Amino acid sequence: MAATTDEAGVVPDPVNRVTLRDPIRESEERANQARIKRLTEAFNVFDQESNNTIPSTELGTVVRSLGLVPTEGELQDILSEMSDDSNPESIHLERFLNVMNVILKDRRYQGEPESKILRAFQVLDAENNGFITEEEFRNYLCKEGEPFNDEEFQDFMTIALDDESDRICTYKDFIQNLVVEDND
Amino acid sequence: MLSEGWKCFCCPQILKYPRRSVVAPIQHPPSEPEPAQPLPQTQHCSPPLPPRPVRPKRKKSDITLAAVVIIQTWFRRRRALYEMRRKTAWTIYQNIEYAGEQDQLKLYNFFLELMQAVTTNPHDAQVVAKVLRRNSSLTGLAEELDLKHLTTPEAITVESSYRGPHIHTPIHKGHFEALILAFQRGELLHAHYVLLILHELRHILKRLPNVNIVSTHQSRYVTVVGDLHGSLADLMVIFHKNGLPSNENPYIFNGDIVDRGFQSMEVFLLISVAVIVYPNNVYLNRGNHEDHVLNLRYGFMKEIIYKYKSHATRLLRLFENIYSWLPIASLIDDHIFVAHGGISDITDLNKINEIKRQKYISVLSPNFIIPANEDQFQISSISDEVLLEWRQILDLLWSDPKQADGCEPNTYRGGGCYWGPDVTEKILQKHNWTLLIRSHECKEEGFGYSHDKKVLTIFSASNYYAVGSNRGAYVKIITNQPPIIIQFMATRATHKTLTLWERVSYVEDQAIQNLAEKFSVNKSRLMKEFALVDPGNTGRISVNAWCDIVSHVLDLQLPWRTLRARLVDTDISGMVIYESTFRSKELRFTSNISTNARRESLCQAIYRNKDLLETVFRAIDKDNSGVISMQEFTEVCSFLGKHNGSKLDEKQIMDLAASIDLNKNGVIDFNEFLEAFRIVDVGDRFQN
Repeated sequence: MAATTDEAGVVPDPVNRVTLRDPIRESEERANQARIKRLTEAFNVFDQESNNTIPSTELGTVVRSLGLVPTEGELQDILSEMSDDSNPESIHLERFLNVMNVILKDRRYQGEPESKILRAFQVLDAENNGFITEEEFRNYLCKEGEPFNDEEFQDFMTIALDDESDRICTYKDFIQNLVVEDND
Repeated sequence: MLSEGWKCFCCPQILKYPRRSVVAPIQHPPSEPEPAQPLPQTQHCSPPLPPRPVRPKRKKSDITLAAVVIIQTWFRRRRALYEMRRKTAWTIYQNIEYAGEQDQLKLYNFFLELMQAVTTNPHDAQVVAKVLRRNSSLTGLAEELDLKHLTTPEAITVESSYRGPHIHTPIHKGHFEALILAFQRGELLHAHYVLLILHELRHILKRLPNVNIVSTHQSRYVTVVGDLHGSLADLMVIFHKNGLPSNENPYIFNGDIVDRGFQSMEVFLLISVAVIVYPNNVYLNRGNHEDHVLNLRYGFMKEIIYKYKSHATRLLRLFENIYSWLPIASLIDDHIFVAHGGISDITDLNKINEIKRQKYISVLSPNFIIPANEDQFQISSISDEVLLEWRQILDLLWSDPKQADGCEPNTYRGGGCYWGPDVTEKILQKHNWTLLIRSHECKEEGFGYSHDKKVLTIFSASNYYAVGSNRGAYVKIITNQPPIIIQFMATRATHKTLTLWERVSYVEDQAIQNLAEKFSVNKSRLMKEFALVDPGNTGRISVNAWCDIVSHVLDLQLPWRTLRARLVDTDISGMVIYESTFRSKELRFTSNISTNARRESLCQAIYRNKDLLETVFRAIDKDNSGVISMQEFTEVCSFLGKHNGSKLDEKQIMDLAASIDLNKNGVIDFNEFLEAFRIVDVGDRFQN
C-alpha cells in the first residue's frame, strides 16, 4: 500500500511498529526551512521598524540580493503578486515569503549565462572594436530598454571603464566584474 | 568670510549619495521614430530654407533591446548586492551601539535598584555610592564658592613656552576665528583659557530660562544643528556651508556636543565662544551626553584627562556644573519645539518652565536619588511630584519616537520614553506647536521625518560608525516656510572621492572587524556551545546551528546567514568549520604569562567588560591619578561579574594582576592593566 508521510516526513508503519523516515520528504522540508530562514533574514535587513513590513521600493534590492536577476518589468510582476491593495506602500513578510519561496524553489529569474552576456555586449559593439565608449553606453543604457537614471549610470561607469583616463570599456574583462557572485 | 588662513576639511565636491534602487516604472520601447517637423518659416522675405535633413534614427531591433536589458539587469543586481551589504553593515553598527548602551544602562539601573534595597550588602553599596556620588557634597552658596575657588583660572599660570592662542576678556569675534584656525592646526588651548571661557559661558547660561525663546523675526531664519559628538570636521563643514554664527546667522545646537569623537573639547569651546560673542543669537540645548555620568564611559572624560592631565579634575568639575545650567529646550517662533531627545505623554511647557534645572547635575542619576555622601545607603522616599518633575526633564533628553501609538518606557536607553504618533498629536495640539525637531538618533541620511512629518530628527555627525556609514545634516528654519534640510559628509582632503563600491567596502570592513573582535572575546563560550552540538568532534556543525549559537552567545540579532560567508569557512558539503570563527582575531596578553583554559576564559570576560570596568575605575579614581587600591580594583571586578553573570573571580584576578606584575604596593594602575589585553590580527585576513 502507498505510504503516506506525516508533517515531519515520518512514515508510520502500523504493521511493524517501526517508524520509517522518508529521506526525500525530510530533506525537502529542511531545504524549505533553510529557504524561509534565508528569505526572512534578507527581509529583516530592510524592516526598519521591526514590524514585519518593508517599503515596496526596497523589494528590488531584497530580491536581487538573494541572487536573482529579474528585470524591472519582472519585478513589477513579483510586486503585484505580493502587494496588498489596502496598503500598496509596503509589503508584508508573510506574502513575501509565500511568493518568494515558490520563486526560489522553481529557480526562476536565474539570469543568463556569461556567454550570453558577452553576446549582449558584442551586439552593442556594432563596429566590433572589442570595446564600447562611454558615449555609446550612455545612448544605450540611459535611453533604451529599462533606462538607468543618472546615479545608476555614474556607478556603472566607475566599474565599466578600464581606467580613469580613457573612456572605454573592454567588455570581456568587465563581465567578470559584472556577474560577481557575492555571498554565495 | 575668513582670512586666507582658512583651511577647509571638507571635499570641495560633495559626494552624490546613491539613492536606494527603486522599482522603475515599465518603459515601453518607443515604437516608431517621430516624424520630422518642418522648421517654422522665417519672417523676412528671403526664400524659405529647405527643411533640415532628419538624422536617420537607428532602427531599434529586438536584439539590441534584449542586449541592453540584459546588461541593465545584471548591473542592477550587482548594485543591489552592494546596497544589501551597506544596509547589513549599518544593521551591525546599530545593533552593537544599542547593545553597548543597553549594557551601560542596565548597569545604572542595577545600581539604582541596589541603592533602593534597604537590606543590602553594605560592601556592595559602598562601591556603588563611590561610583555615583558627586564630587562635592556641598550645596547652595557654599557650593558656589567652592566651585569658584577650585576652578578659578588664576590658579593656573600660562607658561612662557605656550604657543597656542591667548584669550582675554572681553571675548570677541577675533578670538573665535583664532580658535578655529588653532584647532584646525591641531593645537590645544591652555587650561587657563579653557577655564576662562567656561566661566564666561556659565555666567551667561545662568541668566537663561529653561526653554530658549527663539525668533526668526530679525534674521528671517535660524539653523538647527544636531548631534556633533566631538566631530570638529563636521562642525567645520557646517560653518563652511552655512556660514559662521553671527547676529544675522543664528544657530541652535541641539545637544550631544561631547563624547565619542576625540575633539569634544574643541567643539564645545568653539560653540561656547559663539554663545559668548553672540549671546542673543546662539542657543544651546542640553543633550543626554552633557552629563558627567555619561562622560565617564563615552570618552569625554578620557579626552580631558589625556589632554589636560593634572588640570583635568578642575575642568571636569566645572563641566559638571555647566551642564546643569544648559537650557533644556528651545521654542522657535512659538510653534516649533526643539529638544535633544523628544517628548513624552506628560510633556508640559508650563511645568518645564517651573523646574530649577540646576538641581539636575546629572539628568540620568540626579543626586537627590543617589546620596551625595557615601555613608547614606538609604534614599529618602521620593514623592510622585519629584519623580514626575524628573521625568519631564529626562524625557526631553532621552526619548525616541516609535511607529505605533502609545508611550512606554525606553528600555534600550534606560531613560525617557518611546512615544507614538498619538502622543505627538496630543502634545503639539496642547501647545499649539506645528513641528518637533529633535536629534539623539543616528540617521543614514543625516535626517528623518516621523509621525506624519510632525517630528524631524536631525543628526550632524557624519561617518558616525565608520567612514562612509552615514551623512550628516542640519536644518534651516525660515519664517513661515517649510524647513530646508542640507546634507553633507565630512571627508579628509587627502581622500579621493569614493565610489559607491569603495564606500560600501570601507563601511562593511569595519563592521566585519567589529564582529570578528566580538568572536575573539567570546571564544571560550562559543567553543563550549559548538562542542555541544558536535558530539562526534568533527569540527563541523550545520549553518543553522552556527547562526543560532552565535546569535545567542553574542546576544546580537543580525542577518547571520547573510554574513556567514564573510565570517567563517565551510567545507564542500556546506557545513561550517567552526574553529574558523576565530581565524582573524585573537585576544592576547602583551606580556608573556602562562595561560590555561580557565585564565583565557577570565581574560575574555575582563575584556568583554572592559568599557564598564574602565568607567567604574575612573569613577572611583577621584583624583584622576590612574591608580586605585588593589582592594577597590578586585571589588569592582567581582561586583561587575555578579552583575552580568561572568565569572570574575576575585582571587583569579588578583593572581592575574600579580603575574603581570602590576600590583605594586597594594595599588594598581588600571590603565596599564586594561592595556595588557589586546585584540590582535592573526592568520590571513578573511577573503573579501
